[in-house]
Amino acid sequence: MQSKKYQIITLEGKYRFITDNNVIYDILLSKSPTLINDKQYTDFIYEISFYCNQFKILPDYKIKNTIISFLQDFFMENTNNILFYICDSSDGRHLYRNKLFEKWFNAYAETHNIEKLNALICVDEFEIEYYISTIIKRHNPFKNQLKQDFVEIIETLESEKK
Amino acid sequence: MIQSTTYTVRIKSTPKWIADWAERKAKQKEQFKKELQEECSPKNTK
Repeated sequence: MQSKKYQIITLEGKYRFITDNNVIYDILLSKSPTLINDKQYTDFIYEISFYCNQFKILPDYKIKNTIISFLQDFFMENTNNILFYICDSSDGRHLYRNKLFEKWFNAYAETHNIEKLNALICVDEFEIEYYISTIIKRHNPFKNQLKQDFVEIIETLESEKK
Repeated sequence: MIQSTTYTVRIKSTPKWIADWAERKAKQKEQFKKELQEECSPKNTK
């Protein structure tokens, strides 16, 4: 797979790869202060974000391979790790991003032993939708607790609107 | 094929943790643009 993905370089606080079409991608992986605090597994939650310097990207299977490989390493480093992300909605392409990540997930979930929890939060105030996901290893010891807490967050939001 | 589960909720206003995320995301995006501009700008030479 060496030639079928891009080389990732580690920079200060982030990772970067540059595609054959000179698109620069930065990957930020940070301890997530967002969703769940004060839990036994909180320290394992990482928020992932992607930034690239072009709006329209030509189809490039090596981008997918690179990101999948990066995430493989992430879960290999510690199988208790939990990946968290919200699809960026600032440019109105959040639905597209969610569909793409879902497609990648479905293609790799079985072979990589991963599971995903999703929430779709529709906010009337700005008529905006947030696609939120967490990905974990199927055998993560905190899986059931995380699922329970994830559902609880959604239920809390449900109850607050009443 | 493994299907992932999706929970959907419709609410009136943005939860604080999402607002915080959006703010963080906007800052990171700005930082990314700034860094790229700095990297691409011609260096001063004497």
